Amino acid sequence: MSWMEAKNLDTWIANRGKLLHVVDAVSLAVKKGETFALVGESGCGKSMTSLSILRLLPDAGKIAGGQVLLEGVDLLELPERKMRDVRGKRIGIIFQEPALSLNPVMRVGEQIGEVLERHFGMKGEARRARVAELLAQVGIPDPDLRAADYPFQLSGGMKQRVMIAMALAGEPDMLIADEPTTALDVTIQAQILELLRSIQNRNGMSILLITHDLGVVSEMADRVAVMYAGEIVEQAERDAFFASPAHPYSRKLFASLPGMGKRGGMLDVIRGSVPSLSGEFSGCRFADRCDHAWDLCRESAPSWFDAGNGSLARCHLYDGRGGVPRLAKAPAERGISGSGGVVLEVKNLKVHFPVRKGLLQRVSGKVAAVDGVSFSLEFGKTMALVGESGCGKTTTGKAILQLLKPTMGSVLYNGKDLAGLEGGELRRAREGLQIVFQDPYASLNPRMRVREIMEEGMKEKDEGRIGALLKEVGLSTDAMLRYPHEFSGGQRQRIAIARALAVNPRVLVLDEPTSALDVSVQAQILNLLMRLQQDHGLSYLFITHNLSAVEYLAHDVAVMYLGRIVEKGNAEKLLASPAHPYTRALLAAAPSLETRKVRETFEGELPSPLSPPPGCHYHSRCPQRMPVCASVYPEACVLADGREVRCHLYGDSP
Amino acid sequence: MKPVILWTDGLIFLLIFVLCAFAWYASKRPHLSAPWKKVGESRSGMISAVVLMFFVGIGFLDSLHYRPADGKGAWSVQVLSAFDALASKMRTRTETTYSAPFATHSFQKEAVLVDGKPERVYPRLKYGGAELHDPARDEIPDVAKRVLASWGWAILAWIAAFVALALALAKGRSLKMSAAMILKGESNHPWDAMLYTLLALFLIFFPAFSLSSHYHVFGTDKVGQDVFYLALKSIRTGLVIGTLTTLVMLPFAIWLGILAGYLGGWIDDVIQYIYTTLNSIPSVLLIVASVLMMQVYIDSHPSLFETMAERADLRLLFLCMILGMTSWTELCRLLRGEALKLREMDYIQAAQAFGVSHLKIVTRHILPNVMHIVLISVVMQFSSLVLAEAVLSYVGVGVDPSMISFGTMINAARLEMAREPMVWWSLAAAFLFMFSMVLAANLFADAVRDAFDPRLQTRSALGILKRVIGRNPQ
Repeated sequence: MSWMEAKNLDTWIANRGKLLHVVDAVSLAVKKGETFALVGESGCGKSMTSLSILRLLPDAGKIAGGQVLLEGVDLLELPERKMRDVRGKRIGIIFQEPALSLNPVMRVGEQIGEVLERHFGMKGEARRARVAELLAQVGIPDPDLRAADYPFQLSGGMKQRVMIAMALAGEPDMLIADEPTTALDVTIQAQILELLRSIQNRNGMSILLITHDLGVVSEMADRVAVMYAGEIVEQAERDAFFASPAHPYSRKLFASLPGMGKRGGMLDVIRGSVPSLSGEFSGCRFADRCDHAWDLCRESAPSWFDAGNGSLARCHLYDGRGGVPRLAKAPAERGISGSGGVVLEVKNLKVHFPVRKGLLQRVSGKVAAVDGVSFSLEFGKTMALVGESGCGKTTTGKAILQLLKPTMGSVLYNGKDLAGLEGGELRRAREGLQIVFQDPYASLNPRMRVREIMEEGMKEKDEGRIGALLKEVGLSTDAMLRYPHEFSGGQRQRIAIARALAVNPRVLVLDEPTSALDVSVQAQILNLLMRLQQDHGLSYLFITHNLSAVEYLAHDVAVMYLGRIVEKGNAEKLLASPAHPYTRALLAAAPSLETRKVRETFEGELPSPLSPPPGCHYHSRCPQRMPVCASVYPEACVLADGREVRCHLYGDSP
Repeated sequence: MKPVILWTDGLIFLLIFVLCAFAWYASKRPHLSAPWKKVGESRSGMISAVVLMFFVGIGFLDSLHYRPADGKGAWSVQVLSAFDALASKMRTRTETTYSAPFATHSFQKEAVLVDGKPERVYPRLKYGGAELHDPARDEIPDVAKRVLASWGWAILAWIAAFVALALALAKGRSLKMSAAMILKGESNHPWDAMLYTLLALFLIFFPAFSLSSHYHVFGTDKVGQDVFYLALKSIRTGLVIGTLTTLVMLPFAIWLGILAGYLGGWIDDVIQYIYTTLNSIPSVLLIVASVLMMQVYIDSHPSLFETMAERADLRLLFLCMILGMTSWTELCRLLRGEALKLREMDYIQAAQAFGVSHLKIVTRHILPNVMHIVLISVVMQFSSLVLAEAVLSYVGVGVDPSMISFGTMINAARLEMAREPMVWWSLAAAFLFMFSMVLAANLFADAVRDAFDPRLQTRSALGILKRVIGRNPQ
C-alpha cells in the first residue's frame, strides 16, 4: 500500500517571459518504509516535483493539475493552514545546500526547537532535552553544547546533520531529501547516507531521494524512477534497474559514467542537449538524442510498456512492434599515451596564509594551505590531485600559476623557476601554463563576446585561429559573436578550454573542470580533454574529488591531505591497491554502482588547517593509528612498485 | 544675436552627447540593451519618463543661450535663452508687485488720484487681464474661451502625435490596425499609457501657456515677476544640479572605489581613510565654506566675467562640484565592495593567468560589471540632489541670488507666508513643479532599479503565468 501517491502532477514555471512545463503528468507512489529515488540530470524537473508535493513552489510556479494523495487525502485541496501541519509533521524535507537552509543568526538549537514548538507545543526543559536527543540521534557529539552554536560555527557536514535533525523533529513519516549530499565531500557523503539509512531502519520512515548521482541511488534506493524533460521515463526496482536499465536514456547515463573499465577509450555520450520545456512535444522527448529512435518515436509519445524484470519504461522499444533494444556499441579504443620528460616540477611548494588579529593586524598564526608539496608532471601525461575540499588542491593549482604567491618552494616549468619572478618576466615564463576553472558560469566575463574572451591572451587578433579553436572544442565558428549567457554549462566549459588553448600552453591546470556539470556533459568534456591531450601532447594537472574521472583519465595520482601529499604514484596501481589508510578510506567512501558496500565510514571530519594535529596529520581519523603517529610526521617511503607513501605502516620507521 | 555657451551648457551638451553615444553603443549589444528594454515595458517607468522628458525639454531649451543685439551695434549684457525667447511675454510683462493668480487688480492698495482726490484702491494691473473692459464680468468667460480654444489645439496636437506613432509602429500593417494595437496595449511597450500621459500634459500646459500671455497664471512675486515663468526657469537649475553633480562625482567614485577593491593592501587603506574622513566632516559646513570662498573670488575678479549670467553660472558649476565632492563616498563604498567580490571571480584570475595588465583588467573586466550599480545610484541620487539644492539655496549658500531656482523661490516666499492675507502662490508653484519633477524621477529610478535587479526578473513572467493557467485551482 503506498503511503504517498502523486497522480498526474502538472506544474508550470514562468521564467524570463517563457512558460516551462517542468512537471508533466508525473505519477509516483512511495510505500511505507522504502526509499524511492528520483534520478535525472539538472533541469529535468526533479526538484520541482518535490516542491509541488509540499506546495512550496516559488512565486513564479503553479500546479495546474493532478493530485497528491497522502493516505487518501489530497494535499492540493487542503487549505494553507492545514498544509502547514503536513509540512514538517507528516513530510519533512532537507535541501542540497545546508549553509543556505539554516538561519545564520539563530542558534541551531532554537531552530530545531521552533519545529518542536510548532508541532508539539513543547517548551522549556522538555524542548531542550528533545533538541539534545535529536542532535545526538544525527551523530553530533556534545549535543547540549552544539545546540548553542550558530550555523557558522559548524562544518558543512555538521550543518547537514542539523538539517536532518530539524527534518526529524516533527517525526515525519516521509522525508524528501533533495540532493542531500551533492554539496558535500565523498567522505562526508558516506557518513550522511549511512545516517539516513540507520534512521530509516529505526523508525520505518519513507524517503523520497532526489539525486543526479547514480552511485547514491545504488547505495540507497529500493525503487528508482528516471526523469527526463519533465516526465518520468522509467520506473524499476533497484536491482533490476542496475542490472539492466530499460530506457535508452538510462542506459546512456550509465554508459557516460567514467571509470577504470573505460580507461583508454572514449566515453559514450548523449548527443545534443535536453530539449526546452517551453515547447510542445509531439513524440518521445528523447527521440532526437536516442540511438534507437525510428519514425514512430517522433510521431507518437510512448506510453508505459513493460520492459521485463518488473520495470516500466516509456519507450516504443517495448511495445512489441518492431525495434529491438540494441546494446550500446563498445567505444572505440584509443590508447592513453604519454612520453617521457618532465615539463613541470614542483618542489617543496608552500602557501601559508597569515592570520591577523587585533587592532594592529599583527600576524598571530598561519594557515598552511599548502605545506611542502612536491611532484613532477611529464610531457603528455595527466597527474590527478585528489582530496577532500579544504585540503589545498586548488591553492596548489593557483600557486603553480603564480596567481597566489607561494610562501616557499619552487615551480620549475621547462627547468625555469617561476616563483619569485615579477611582471613581464613572469608573463613570458608562464606562457605555457594555463588554467580551466570549476564553475563555467564564473569563469567567463558575462559582458564580453566569445571573440573578445578568446582574444584576451592572444598576442595578435586572428579571427581564423579563434574559429579553428572553437571548432576544435566542438563549437561552431559563429559562437564567436555571441555572449556567454547564450551557452549551456558544458558549452561554456568548452569555451573556457578553447580560451586556455589560445596561447598554446604545454600544461593545463584543470581545477575540477567537470564537477559543476551533469554526467552526460561531463563525459563530453572528458572526451574532449582526452582528445586534446593526444592531438597536442598537453600535460594536465587534474584537480578533482571525482575518483571515477581520475580512474578514467589520469596516469598518476597524488592524494592530498591537509596541505601535504600522503601518497602518489601510478594511477592504476594506486587505485587498485591503495597503501595509505587515508587513500583507502577515500576510495571506500565513493559510492559504487555494483554493490551495496558494508563499510566502515570515516571517523570525524577534516581538522582545521589552522591547527593541524601533531605528528601525522591523519592520525586523528586513522583506524590504524599507532603511538608514534601522534608525535612524528612520517618520512616519504618508496614502495616496490615506485609509489611514494607517507605513513608509519611502511618503511623502517619505528 | 550672439550665441553664448556657458560652462554648464557645455557640460549639458557633453552629457547629451555621451548619452546618445551610449544608446547607440548599447543598441548593438543585447546584454546592455536588454534591461533598458525592460524599463521600456514598465508602465510607471514610461509614464514618468514622458513627464521627465517634458522637464528635460524645457531645461534644454533654457540651455541654448545667446546675447541679443542691444540696438546700438553692440551685444546686450543680458544673456537670454531660447526658452526666454519663447516665453518673452511672461518674462517682460512684469507688474509692480504681488498679484494673485489670474488677478486683474494688484494685491495691495495704492494711493491713486481718482477725480483729483487721492484714494487708496486696488489698481488695475498693467498686463494681467488688461484687455478686459469689465474684469468682474468678463474674466471668467474670457478664460473659458481661451481654455477651450487651446484644448482644441491640444487635442489636435495629440492626434498628430498619435498618428505619427501609429505610422512609426505600423511596419506593413494598416494604420487602423496599428492604432488599435496601441490603444489596446497589445504591444510590448505601454504606448497607450504614454499617450494618455502626453494628452494630460497637453491639456494642462496648452491652456497654461496660452493664458500666460494674458494673465499671470501663478500670480506675480514681490517685484512683479510672473511666478509661472520663474517656476519654469527653475527647472533647468534643478536638472543641472541633479545631473552635473553626478558627472563630477562619478570619476572619483568609480576609480577610487574600484582601485581600492581590486588592488587592496595599502591603497585600499588610504582610499578608505580618505572617504571615511570626508564623511565625518559635516557636508553643509564644507559646502558653506567653499561656496563663500568661491563667492569672494568671483567678487574680487569682476573683469573675468562679461555678464551677470556668467558669474551666476560659474557659481552654479562650483556648487555642483562641491556637492559632488561630498556625495561620492557612498557610491565609492559600494563599488569597493563589488570590486572586492569581482576580484575573486574566475574570469579575472584567468585574465591574470594570461598576463593581462591591471589597468586592462579594471577597464575590460571590472568596470563593465559594476556599471549597473553606477547607473542605479546615479538615477536614485538625481532627486535627492534636486532637493539638496532647494535646501542650500534656502539657507543662502546655494546658487547665486540672481539665478532663478526652486531654492531661491522658496527663500523669497518664506516671509510672505506670514502675511495676512497670505501670499501662497510662489511657494505653491515651486512646490508643485519640484514635486512632480522629483516624483517622476523617483518612479523612473524605481523602474530602472527593477530592470537591473536580477532578483525581480520573474515578476513580468508571473503575469503571463496567471493569465494562462489562472483558471486552475491552487
